[in-house]
Amino acid sequence: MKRRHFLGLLGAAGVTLGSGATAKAASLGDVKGLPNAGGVLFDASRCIGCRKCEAACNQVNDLPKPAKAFDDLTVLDATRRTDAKTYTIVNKYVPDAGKPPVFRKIQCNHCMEPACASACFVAAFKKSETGAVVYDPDVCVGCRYCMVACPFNIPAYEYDKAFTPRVMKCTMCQPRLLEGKLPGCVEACPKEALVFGKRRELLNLAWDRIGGNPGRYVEHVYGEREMGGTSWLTIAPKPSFAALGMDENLGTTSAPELTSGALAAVPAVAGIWPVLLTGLYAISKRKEKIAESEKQAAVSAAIAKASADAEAKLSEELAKAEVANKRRIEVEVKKALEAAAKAGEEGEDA
Amino acid sequence: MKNGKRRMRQLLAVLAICGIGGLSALPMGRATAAQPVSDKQRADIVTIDAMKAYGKLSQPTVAFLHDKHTTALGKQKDFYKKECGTCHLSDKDGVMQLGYMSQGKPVSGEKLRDNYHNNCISCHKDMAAAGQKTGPTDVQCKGCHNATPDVASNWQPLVVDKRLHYRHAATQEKADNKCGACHHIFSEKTGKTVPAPKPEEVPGSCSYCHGETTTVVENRQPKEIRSLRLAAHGECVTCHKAAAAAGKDVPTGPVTCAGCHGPLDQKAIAETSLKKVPQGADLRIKRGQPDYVMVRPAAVQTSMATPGKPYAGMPAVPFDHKYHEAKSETCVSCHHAALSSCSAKCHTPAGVKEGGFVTLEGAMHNVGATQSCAGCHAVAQKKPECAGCHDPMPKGIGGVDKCGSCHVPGDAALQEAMTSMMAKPASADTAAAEADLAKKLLAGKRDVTTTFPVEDIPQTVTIGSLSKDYEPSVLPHRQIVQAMLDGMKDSKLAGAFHATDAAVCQGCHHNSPASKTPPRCGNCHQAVETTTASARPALKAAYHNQCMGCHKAMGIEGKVVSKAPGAKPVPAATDCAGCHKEKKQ
Ligand code: SF4
Ligand code: SF4
Ligand code: SF4
Repeated sequence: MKRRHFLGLLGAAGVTLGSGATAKAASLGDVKGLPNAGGVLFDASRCIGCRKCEAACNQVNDLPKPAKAFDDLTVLDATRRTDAKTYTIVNKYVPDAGKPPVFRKIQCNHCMEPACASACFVAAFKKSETGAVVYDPDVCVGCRYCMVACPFNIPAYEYDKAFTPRVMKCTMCQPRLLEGKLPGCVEACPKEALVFGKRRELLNLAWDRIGGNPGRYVEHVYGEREMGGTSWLTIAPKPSFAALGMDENLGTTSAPELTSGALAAVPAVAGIWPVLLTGLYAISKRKEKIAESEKQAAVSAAIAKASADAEAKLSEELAKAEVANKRRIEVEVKKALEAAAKAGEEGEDA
Repeated sequence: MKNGKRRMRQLLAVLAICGIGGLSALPMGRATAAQPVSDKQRADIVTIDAMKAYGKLSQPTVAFLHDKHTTALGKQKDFYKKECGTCHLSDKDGVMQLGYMSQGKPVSGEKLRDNYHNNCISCHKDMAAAGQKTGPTDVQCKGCHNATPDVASNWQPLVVDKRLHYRHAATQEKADNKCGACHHIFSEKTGKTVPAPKPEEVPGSCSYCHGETTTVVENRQPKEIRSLRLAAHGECVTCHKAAAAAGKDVPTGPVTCAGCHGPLDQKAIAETSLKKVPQGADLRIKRGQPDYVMVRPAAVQTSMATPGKPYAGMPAVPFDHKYHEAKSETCVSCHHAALSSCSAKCHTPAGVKEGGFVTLEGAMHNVGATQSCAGCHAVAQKKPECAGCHDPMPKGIGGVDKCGSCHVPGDAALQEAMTSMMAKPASADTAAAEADLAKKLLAGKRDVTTTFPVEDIPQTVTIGSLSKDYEPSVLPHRQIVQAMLDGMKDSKLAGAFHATDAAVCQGCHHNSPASKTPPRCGNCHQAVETTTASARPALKAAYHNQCMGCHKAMGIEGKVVSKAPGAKPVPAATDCAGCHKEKKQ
């Protein structure tokens, strides 16, 4: 395929990102200061591991019934992770032998600048103004780059669906939020280990709890800055977040910043490169699955909305950045491929 | 080191005359020999890392097992000739150096390294040549420099508590200078430290002079003060050895690392103390301290007292010194730096350099410091029977309404006495009057925690306002109140601070006005959660946090606590039906 051809595709994708009325693209300029972005504060010191949140999530999202009932707490004896039918799980940790266990709820953290969205060139993932990172299965081509990109290992693939597999993850109950309701898990939690609110207010609340109980909490709000900040915030009792299986070394740079370099000016361009280099096969496969007309409609609609400006700027930026970023992008791609290979080996997604 | 030389000589003489083979044959070994010894958990690990001072280590540090070496040496035929001197040199006064083969003077890194390498290895070689079991003899570094030694330290600091002090005092009862055996002071006349002549002249705890490290100050007398570690090892171990050497049946203290610092041995020491100290013995360490005092600024501050006007500072705090002594293990628990009054020099109202600029207010109220009143009381609140209510409460001095618990104002007559007392600086002359005033002020304090008459305490409370998936929860209200009162029935501290009948109610009915009929929880906690984050939990979480939080903090979750026949366990947090039955759909 010729480079010009690629650029045409890129143009369409880039513009699609900016076209949603409520959706925001995953780049710096767009999400910084989403003033009303909501979020959830999880306080691990309050969580009792009752799994009511899991049950509520299952119910409000119409997910299939699990093998073991939600009131069976023996499930907690094994470490679990989220999958395509389970958007959230609670795991048990024993940081101090002989002391009571600590529980942690795990779900999509709804990053302020989501890696999943920056890796997705068709913008199937978008940061919404409610704070939720939402997914549109209709545009998803199933390349699964989002899964590789997510630093928290969250998106899961419906491997058992032959025809229209989707990437599944917690939606922060976006449909409920739009109705003014609380996320299912938050509403169900008997302990208010989960609090919904504006992210800014949650940060105040989190720091008040840390400051008001000297010695109880790790003096850090996980998600305040991790990966550029997440809408889901966590505070935990001492000794550490690592004791609850959380990566303490993620850094404060968001995924788009990490991968974009000079291309930051163009929404989500960075994520396109890996897709271009390795994702075409997947795209063509998906093409067979989705009705040809549907795709045509989507693309032409997108192109219709495209401004000449955006396209010109894009090509210009690409030309400028090409040399400088080639090396860097190669490294990123290699990393992504390795991670994908590793994930495959470990059968994590199965 | 006043007695060291004499003791060492005495010890060596005795050893030489009797030909006692070594440590293991000495009677002081007995106390520790009875303890099961785990070879992996040890209190005698001396980490040899002195080379750190000379830069990055090229080899892992050495985990040296001190007790293992003394025991092995004790079995040596000619050990008595050198004893500790096998590894430790003594200075010209006969004071033993605690460092290995060290003169106590700084040496170069190379010298230090050679000191260890040559001496350790050659000793091992000599022993191996004599056909004895011994340590590494080769030049393979990892024989000693093992980054992952298979031993772990269970070393515990040793505290000379009141009972142990009593035992030591008892053994010295007949000595001409009973306190002076351990406590010394500096004599200007001789220019040396001499045994403290009289109880009143004992400067107090060793830690007042002997700090974490050895301190040398040129224009101080004495110039050099050994670190607490050196002083304690030099004095205690030497004395124990000398006493043991003096006669086979003289009971004496440990000389091994584990003997003082091993957890099992410490337990044995505590148990022996319990047995050896007669029931009802007066454990009070007498240093001329008063029974009652007024805690107050030492000097009258002009801003606080204007002649002819009433005292304008906080009312002084009446303090039952004798009672608090009985509750603490050592004087150092409170008097961390000196035995004198806190406010005399260090903690003035404004703070001075001597007290690290910690003001009198800070010294008494800092919750982070266990020596302060509020800090020590906060530690007491961690006891399970207290933690249920106190764990979620802010620690230390909360609202100003709490001030009166300690700053007892007293009636008009006592207030007048206080005002005239505060017009004079605290001194030996005012002590008696102050003690008298403190006693009178404290006379009105509660000794035990009480609350409303039992018939005024609802038997059960039905919590049903949220009832949806579950039946209402029936709370055994009176039983809970009584269990709480049982938990603090012997605590004078609790009595003094739960000053009103409604005080114990505040554990659950927090933030509400203290009353026999506190408002319902739903008055403050809304029934429905909203999408606005709030520090105040909604009703469902308010109930759950309060009930489960208390059960967890008290450690009673899932346990049977009631002594009534057929009593059920306190429901575990995840046992929903334990508190409210599930509704039949
Ligand atoms: S946690 Fe993962 S899936 Fe969720 S928004 Fe962040 S990057 Fe995307
Ligand atoms: S699978 Fe590919 S196209 Fe679908 S959401 Fe993930 S990154 Fe986007
Ligand atoms: S419902 Fe709340 S308390 Fe229960 S497991 Fe989930 S987060 Fe923890």
